[in-house]
Amino acid sequence: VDTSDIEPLTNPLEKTAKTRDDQVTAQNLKQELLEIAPSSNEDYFLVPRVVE
Amino acid sequence: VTIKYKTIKEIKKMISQKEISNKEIVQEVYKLINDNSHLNAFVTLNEENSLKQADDLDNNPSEMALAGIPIAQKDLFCTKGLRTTCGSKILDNFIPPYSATVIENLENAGCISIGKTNMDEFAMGSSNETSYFGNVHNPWGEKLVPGGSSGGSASAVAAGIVPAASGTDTGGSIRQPASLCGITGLKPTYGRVSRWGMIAFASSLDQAGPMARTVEDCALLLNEMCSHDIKDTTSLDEDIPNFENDLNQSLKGKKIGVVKDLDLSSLDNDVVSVYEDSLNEFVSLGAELKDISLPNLALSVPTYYVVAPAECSSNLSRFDGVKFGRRSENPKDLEELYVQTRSEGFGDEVKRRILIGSYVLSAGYYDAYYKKAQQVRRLIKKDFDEAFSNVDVIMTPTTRGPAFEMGSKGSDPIQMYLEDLFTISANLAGLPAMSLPNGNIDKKPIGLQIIGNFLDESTILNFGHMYQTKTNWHMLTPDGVKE
Repeated sequence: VDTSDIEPLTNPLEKTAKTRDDQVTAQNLKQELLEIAPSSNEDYFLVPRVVE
Repeated sequence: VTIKYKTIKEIKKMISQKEISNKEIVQEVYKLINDNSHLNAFVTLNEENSLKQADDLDNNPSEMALAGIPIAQKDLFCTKGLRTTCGSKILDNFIPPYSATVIENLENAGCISIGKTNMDEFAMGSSNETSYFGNVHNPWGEKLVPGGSSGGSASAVAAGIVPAASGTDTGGSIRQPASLCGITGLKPTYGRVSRWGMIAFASSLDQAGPMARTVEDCALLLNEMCSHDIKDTTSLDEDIPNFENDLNQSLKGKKIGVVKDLDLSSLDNDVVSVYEDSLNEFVSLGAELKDISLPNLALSVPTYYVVAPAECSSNLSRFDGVKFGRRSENPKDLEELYVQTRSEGFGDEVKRRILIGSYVLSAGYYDAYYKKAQQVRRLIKKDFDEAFSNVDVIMTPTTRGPAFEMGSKGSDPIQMYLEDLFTISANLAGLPAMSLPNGNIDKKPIGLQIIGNFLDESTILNFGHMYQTKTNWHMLTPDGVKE
């Protein structure tokens, strides 16, 4: 098919994201999220050592 | 008194007339799940909580729209405190700390989430044969697939275990299993239902919707599922009508688009005659048939199999064994942790699509595949825009045939991909579409697809409901015609 002058369609809505007031809306789920991680301590997710 | 094969409407009436208590309903659902364990429709049950909710409703009767209605939730929706696997080994221990918006909406309307239904892994499949938790069986025949990816949801409703289930549809995953299991399923307009808390497959195509025994029940469920959600930037801020309002409108003079580019010659004669009989039924209801052209329709499948894998390869990169889900044991370094976790955690079909997606997005191939596919996607959408300037709905068969046997399309992924031939274009264009039972071939149900214009779920529900007032295909069950 010839698509030479056709603008790509990335999303059926073609709307731009709305802005909102810069206020904190998210809850802090730090504890809950660290608890479901395969490996974590009280502050961080743990992975094998990266820097020798 | 039984709730087996009952609709939401019927169960609501049974509750209000005190023929059955909420607790008895939930107890019967778990008995039915047990009696039908060979279907493998459920991955995780929510029995203790459900019984408690039912008890609460018996003690404090509620006026909520769907109070006490048992619903099976596809295991793709995050459910707070209840394991959510998406049919994958990589999430077989994942317990979400929050619920999807659509789950909250249904529960706030009084629905009781009975359990999580089996599905193709990450919703990638059309036969429910890619789930880590095993195949789901179609209640219409032990060896038959239920379709996919919402196969567990479709099987549970078709077997009469629950009157309703949630599903999601990226290329046909609500409509195709609805067709193969003989139930009604609706994919709403892209953006109608919040995607927040749905595990993403292809974000520009994914949409959640209802699966039930009747069009009327789908309208009831859709009323509760839709909402404008600021947590999903693609959630539409549009008026949400009461979808029950227009169900009984006359179809006199309304126009049905019949796609003349659709090549039906590859289908069985039975499938074509079922389809044509349905069109004639609508004519007898007063609607008119009008030929329309969707010249780029044949490009839907190849377009989809570039766009969807591209988006999936990006979305599934979040599963890395670090923050949640399964991690491989004793990786020697970080790279091995990623590689081993994904190699062990993902199944073959998911790996195939991640590879295709990474390929079409890679430098040097991006323009030839991904950009080209998105350009064709616009052409497909334009075809629909033009068609809908002349007609109210478009009708096609939902599937190329009724349910097929397990393993029969296993070796060739292309055969499986073609299963979604008729359904994929509605996802690419973002349009609402529904499948409802319209025939029975060799004792297997099959469905009709009704595609509507943007935001016009009401019209397809109207067409579907009027059809179900004149026909009884939706009354057929694996045990015979419902009383």
